[in-house]
Amino acid sequence: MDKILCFPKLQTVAFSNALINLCHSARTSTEDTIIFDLSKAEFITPFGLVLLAGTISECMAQNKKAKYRRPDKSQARKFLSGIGFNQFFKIVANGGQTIASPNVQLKRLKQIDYLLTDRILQVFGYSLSMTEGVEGSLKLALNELMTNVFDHSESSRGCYVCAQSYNRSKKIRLCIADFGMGILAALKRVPKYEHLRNDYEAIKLSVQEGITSRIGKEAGYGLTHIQRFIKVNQGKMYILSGNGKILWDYAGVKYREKRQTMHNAFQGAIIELEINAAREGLYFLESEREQIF
Amino acid sequence: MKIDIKELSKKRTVTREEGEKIQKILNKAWNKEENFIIDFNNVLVASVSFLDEAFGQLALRHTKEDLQKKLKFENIVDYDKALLNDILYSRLRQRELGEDGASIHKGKQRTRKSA
Repeated sequence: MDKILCFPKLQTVAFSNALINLCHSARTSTEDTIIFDLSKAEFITPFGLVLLAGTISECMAQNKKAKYRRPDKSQARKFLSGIGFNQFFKIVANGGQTIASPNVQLKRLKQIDYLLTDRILQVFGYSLSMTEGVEGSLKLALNELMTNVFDHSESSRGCYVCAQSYNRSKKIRLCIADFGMGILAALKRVPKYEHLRNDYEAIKLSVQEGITSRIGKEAGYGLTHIQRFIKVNQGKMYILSGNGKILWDYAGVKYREKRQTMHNAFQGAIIELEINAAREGLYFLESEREQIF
Repeated sequence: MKIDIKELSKKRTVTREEGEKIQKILNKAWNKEENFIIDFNNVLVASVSFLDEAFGQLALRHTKEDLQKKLKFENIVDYDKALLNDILYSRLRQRELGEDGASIHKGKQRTRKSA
């Protein structure tokens, strides 16, 4: 029997509850074949894409057949075929053609890819003008997010990374998802964080300086630096893990921190960054103190 | 002593483990060498983990003046230089406060006031 899952028009982080519910249904379904119905899909961001890619991969790992119905809208179809979605998963699709889309990069990583960051920067450099600070901080963000996945998540299937540039709005979205133990479980392995009660507390703590699940190591600076970059860049950062999601929104006039509860827990962690390519990205040495070197 | 990051790391300049290799070389020769010339070959590293493990941790054991005397950075891009300075300041501050917020400066033992 087939299980048909109808995905919504907008597959963005704002609709994370609906998307995670669908992915949860796919993973827990006992049917042999899961049909990912994307016919209504019009706009898919890296968040939607990594979630979809990871879920399809998990269904296939469970020996389920995965099929998808391609989007009716040509723009969304182009987007999916452009990233080589069909070849990527070797799934059955009814039609569709491959159109190279240099503005989108989707990759599954089983270990740190040392060339990925430079490749993304190079590709985006053709279509977007990035400040030097954004270039460096984008590379830093990707480096630190990859390191976090392989250091802390214990994900047996690695992670999914997707980056997309938007020429008109001069924005970049970068998303990384792992299907590992999640932030709360990773931090709770360390005795001094055993007191953590829920996913919000864990997510909130994870961006603080010096917080790490590495036992006996001085570490835990990656997410802090990323958050500082996003603040200076007036961008947005979302972290979703377990039942919690927090948005740090520096885009508006007033800073907002928004929480949302996921009805179905997401096993792992997803981080999405929204970056302004033309804005400031160099966030160091805000004070006037002299440089050491 | 000259340390060529590109040659030594072969583009693997992301993780703490990779940074630790550099730190070990520095630690081993710290008292023997007058100074270390660290050449980045203008390669953008952009990794807090790597730079902190390679150089930041040194600031937990040595003073700012010692670091300035011993370490010379060559062909380092502006972004990495700013990041390195930021990391070093952060570690020097940590050293000054001690792990639990208490100063570890000799003769200046003080504790953080309880809230």
